[in-house]
Amino acid sequence: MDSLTFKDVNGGWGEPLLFENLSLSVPRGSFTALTGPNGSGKSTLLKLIYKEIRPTEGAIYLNGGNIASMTQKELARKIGFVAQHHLHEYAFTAREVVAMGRYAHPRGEDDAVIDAAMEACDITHLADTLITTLSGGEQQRVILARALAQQGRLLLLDEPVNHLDVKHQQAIMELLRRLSHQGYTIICVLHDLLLAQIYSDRTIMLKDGVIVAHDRSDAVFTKERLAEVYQIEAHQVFDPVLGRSIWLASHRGA
Amino acid sequence: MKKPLVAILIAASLLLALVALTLGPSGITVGETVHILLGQGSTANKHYIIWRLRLPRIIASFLTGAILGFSGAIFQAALRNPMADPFILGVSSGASFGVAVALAVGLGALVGFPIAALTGSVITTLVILALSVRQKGATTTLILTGVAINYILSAAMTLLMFMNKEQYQRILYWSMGSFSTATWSEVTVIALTMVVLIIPLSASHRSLDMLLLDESSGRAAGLSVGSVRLMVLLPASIATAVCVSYFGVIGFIGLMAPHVSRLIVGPKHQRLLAPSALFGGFLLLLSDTLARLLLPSGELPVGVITSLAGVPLFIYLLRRGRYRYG
Repeated sequence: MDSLTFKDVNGGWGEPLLFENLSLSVPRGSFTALTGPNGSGKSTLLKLIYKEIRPTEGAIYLNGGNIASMTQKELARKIGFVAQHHLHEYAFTAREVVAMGRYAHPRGEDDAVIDAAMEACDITHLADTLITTLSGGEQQRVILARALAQQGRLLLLDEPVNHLDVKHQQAIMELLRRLSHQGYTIICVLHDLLLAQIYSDRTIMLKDGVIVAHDRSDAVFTKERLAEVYQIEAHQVFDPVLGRSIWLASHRGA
Repeated sequence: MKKPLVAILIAASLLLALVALTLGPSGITVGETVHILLGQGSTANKHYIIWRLRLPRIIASFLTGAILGFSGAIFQAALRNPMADPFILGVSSGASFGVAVALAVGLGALVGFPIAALTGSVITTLVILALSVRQKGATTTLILTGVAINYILSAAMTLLMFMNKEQYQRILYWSMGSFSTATWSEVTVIALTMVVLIIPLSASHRSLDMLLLDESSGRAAGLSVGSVRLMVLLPASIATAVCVSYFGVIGFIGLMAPHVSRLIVGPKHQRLLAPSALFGGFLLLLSDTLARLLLPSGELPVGVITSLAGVPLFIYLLRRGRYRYG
């Protein structure tokens, strides 16, 4: 069953609209990487889902319901979102930040949900630590826990590992992988094509607001498609740990 | 920390109010002040000084400081800007312009400064909010629109004063702020403003926390960012406008009180709003008492005291280190 469906959607910032007649379906429980060059519409597509931008034509359905007829709070109870840029200038504790994920819910079982979200992201020990003092990787886990506390089964993430070192990238991506195995539907904007190939089971590749490919990740990444979409040469290497081949951009080096 | 801090601020404010009621050229003792407040015997003159002159002034300055401190916390959250204060959306320039226009067209005596100032500031704030509505109240648009309108109104007011030089002193003195003419009717209006416009905003503490997130995260977590922003800014602006219309422009309280409170209780608005109001009230009452007593004869404009005393304290607190708006 599909979790999310776009049906003939036109939308975007200003004119001309970035997306025209966009249709796609994301299966429930899948881990979908959203890739494409800068300006291809990855973040805009997420904004259409959480209603920062409204479609001018067409409709977006979440678990069969048209999101246009949902209030912002109703929608927030069905999705969680991790933004690309989230400056934390105000010294909330990690737990207070996670608790903000409960905004759309009536009070009641907040504590249990917050505890569970923090445990899932392995930040229980940071509960009383000010978020302004946490490392980038820890902050990202707090933000992810806040998204989980919303209790939506669809998680949207906009470049969640961009500013993290390799170890923290690995930790976040493995956490997302685990969540998808637990039944969460994940749509994750990724610039790093390596991470997209390693962790996602499906990939949507965008170029100039058009879906160039949407399939199993191993079917989306091809030499020809990477040349067409990114204008790069690529070569395939076998990764003995993964037990399969992956595509790498061919850097010539010095 | 919230409850002890609130209790400390209430106790300190009551003590300061007693001192402020007593101090002055009339030679009233603390004991006499307490007796007069309890309705016990004293001279009619002293009774008049306490009940008619000092008490309304003290309550007016405290409530005005409380409104400015509370509104400052609202503005800083709603605009996601630590430099925001209740005057950023044109309340003060609108009020001054309203007074300047009333004087220029000869209506100053007829409508009075408060009505002219309130009209000017409310219209200005509504215009700024309306101009920003198309952008769903985006913070940058709001702040820049406010700055632009402030410049236009300042220029227009300068022109009006240039054309009516004899009125310049009156506008200048009014704009510097003073509680010397505070009456019980003004206290009633300010208290009603506090009860009707400010205290109900306390219920929005969760939304105010959410406004401190980036807009996308706030929206995705269920916050209707634009409408919530307007719903908290409008009453805070009107409440500030009421204070300005009676007592002039009193700078720095609305900026400093929330920052100092945040240093102690953190940024969560459930804990922050009450201390911001109480600290604002305490600071303005202290400033007004100093403004009344520092000169052997006459008074200093209270705005001078709030800035002169407040800025060094504020810079000290900022330099104490590790301050990140909380």
